[in-house]
Amino acid sequence: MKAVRYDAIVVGSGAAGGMAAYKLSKAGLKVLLLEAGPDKDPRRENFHHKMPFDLALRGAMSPQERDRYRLNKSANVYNKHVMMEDAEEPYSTPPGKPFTWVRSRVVGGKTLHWGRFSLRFSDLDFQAASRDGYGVDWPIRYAEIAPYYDFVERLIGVAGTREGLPQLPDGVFQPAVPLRCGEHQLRQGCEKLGLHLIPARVAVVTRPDFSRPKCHYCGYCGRLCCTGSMFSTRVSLIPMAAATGNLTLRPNSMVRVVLADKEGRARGVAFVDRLTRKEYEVAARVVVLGASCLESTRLLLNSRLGNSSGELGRNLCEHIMAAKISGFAPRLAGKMPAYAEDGHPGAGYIPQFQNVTAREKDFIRGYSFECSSGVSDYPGFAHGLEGFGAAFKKRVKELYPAMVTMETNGEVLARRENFVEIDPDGARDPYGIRTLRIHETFGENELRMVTHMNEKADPRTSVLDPFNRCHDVPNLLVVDGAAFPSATALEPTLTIMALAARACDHWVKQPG
Amino acid sequence: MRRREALGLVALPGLAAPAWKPDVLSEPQNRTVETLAELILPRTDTPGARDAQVNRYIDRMLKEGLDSAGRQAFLEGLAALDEQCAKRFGHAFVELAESRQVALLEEMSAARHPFFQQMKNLTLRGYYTSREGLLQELQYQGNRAYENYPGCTHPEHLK
Ligand SMILES: Cc1cc2nc3c(=O)[nH]c(=O)nc-3n(C[C@H](O)[C@H](O)[C@H](O)COP(=O)(O)OP(=O)(O)OC[C@H]3O[C@@H](n4cnc5c(N)ncnc54)[C@H](O)[C@@H]3O)c2cc1C
Ligand code: SF4
Repeated sequence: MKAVRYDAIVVGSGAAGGMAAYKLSKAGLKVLLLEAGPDKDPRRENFHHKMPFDLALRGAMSPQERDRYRLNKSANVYNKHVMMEDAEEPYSTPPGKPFTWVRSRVVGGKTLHWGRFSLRFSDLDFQAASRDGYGVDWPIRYAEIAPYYDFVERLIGVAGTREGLPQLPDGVFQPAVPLRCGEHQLRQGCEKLGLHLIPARVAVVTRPDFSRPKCHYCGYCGRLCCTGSMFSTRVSLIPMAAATGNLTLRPNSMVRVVLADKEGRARGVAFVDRLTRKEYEVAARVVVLGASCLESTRLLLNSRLGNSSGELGRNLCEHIMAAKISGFAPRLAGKMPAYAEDGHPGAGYIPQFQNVTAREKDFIRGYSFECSSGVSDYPGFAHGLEGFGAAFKKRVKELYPAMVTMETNGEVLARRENFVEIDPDGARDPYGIRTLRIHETFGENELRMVTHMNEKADPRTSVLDPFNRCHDVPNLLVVDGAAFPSATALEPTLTIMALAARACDHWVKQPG
Repeated sequence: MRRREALGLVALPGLAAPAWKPDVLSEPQNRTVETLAELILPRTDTPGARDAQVNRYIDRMLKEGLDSAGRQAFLEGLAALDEQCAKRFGHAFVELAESRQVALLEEMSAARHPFFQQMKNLTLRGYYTSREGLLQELQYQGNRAYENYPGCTHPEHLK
């Protein structure tokens, strides 16, 4: 590597690391961004505009492929080239407590194929603990983070509508994508129950005059976006950071440990090139971890840093996507699709409706629904219909345009019994780096994991300060979901980016 | 004709379409699969499973798409079906009258017979991912790009 003197090293190039790299290079720091995965441009390497009959096995994975991604439940034919095979970074779980972990290894991380929902938290989330007595409050309030939400939304582009709901603060929005027939049907049902169904707030460009092209409504967002309209750090923050001339991006670079000097300050990192297996050490004034929640925790544990409180890796909680409720809207049965309805990049959203004004008796916190409808390229519901023959075939055709689904978003509360540790049996990954053991009781559905490090002002009970700095190591920032004190029922990524931006701003003003 | 003869060439039979042959299924098994698929999703005013060559899809899945347990279950189920038909009616499944075939499948469907379920699932996959099933039957219009997204275009849905 070139003998450049870097000011900052950022580990991981997903939502958290991408934002940190952007902020710090804009502030004039020389930034080295180390990403374990390869660089793949989603605008070129995708399976867009292909029909199932154009693909081998009609878009299904072969059994050999399925075996390689057994624990990575979101991997499929369309995204597996940016997903990580289980064997690449193994981990263990205690007997009878399986844990599935969706991991991407690529420049841009999970933002290459994420669900794009971009939602602000409110004080109902930040102060949930004082309201219901469970866990800890966040060390910040909505008013402090609101300007950073504005900043992130302007930068990445979020489509949505202003609704004035206390549990889901409005933001800086581009025009929302109109609801389809099915979402309108569901909305009418919701109104009767006093619930709101609003157009999804998604990180997709819908304005013609933005830094990235406007969405062309193909609906293939999950297969990586071929226009760059959907936000990923790979097409947005990273090129913008590179344009400052201050960023060096190094793909295929797996960080082993954060290196510390005698005073206990971070002096740099050690990493291995995944392709050549060559080892490197680099130095910088500040190290920023954005390797995703569990990977950043693993790095700190392996570095033996930041854990004087003993809280590191404790209180694992997660944002889960649980039950999927589907049904048919009778009025839509037999409707002939007038256009390619599946081109919607987001659909509808029913914000949390429990514990907003009134308090529920039997449970705390809440959940929300992501809603969707419209035809897609496969009538999966047909597998659940009884029978066969001409009548069956007719029924499939009738119901095909009438399908409506709601997916619940909930929170697994932070609990000390749920935690991660370095594998006590000494297991290592192919690069010789010690791996994790994950103890989680509800964790069948991990998708959007947050929280480990109880970010509180008191160093005895927390790992990070309110500006994401390690109490023990003042020039080490942790900017991903590892910093969340509770998972909330909301999709976390907008907040991860807002907090990462805020932490970097603060560090530039007051370097630790 | 003349020209070819003049050039001293001989016509090659069947050059246009080399006959498809199953890789995993035997010829009789292939016929059974074809028959079953067509009973599950028959041709109506739109193409059926036979038109969509669902049997070819199933043969391909047996070769590359199913794990060994799935493949074994399928082939054993297929054999058991014929065995049963021989015992009960003295004929293989394909030789039975259609009404009898349908009655048999109705029995299996009601009992959620594992082989029937597997055969049905494969037939649905093969059919609805084919040109005939997706484009003709379901009239799927995907793969388009729009300047603006239409949303619901039915005023009657908003009432
Ligand atoms: C299917 C799916 C749908 C989702 N939908 C939504 C949604 O609608 N809304 C929402 O808010 N969130 C959603 N999420 C969650 C969202 O993707 C994550 O919250 C977000 O990507 C987290 O950002 P991150 O930077 O912490 O981690 P990641 O995006 O995972 O990035 C971490 C990066 O660090 C790299 N890395 C890891 N270890 C090392 C190391 N040792 N050295 C160097 N690099 C390393 C990884 O390769 C990776 O590229 C979804 C997730 C999935 C899987
Ligand atoms: S629908 Fe829009 S955002 Fe989604 S993949 Fe297509 S162009 Fe990209």
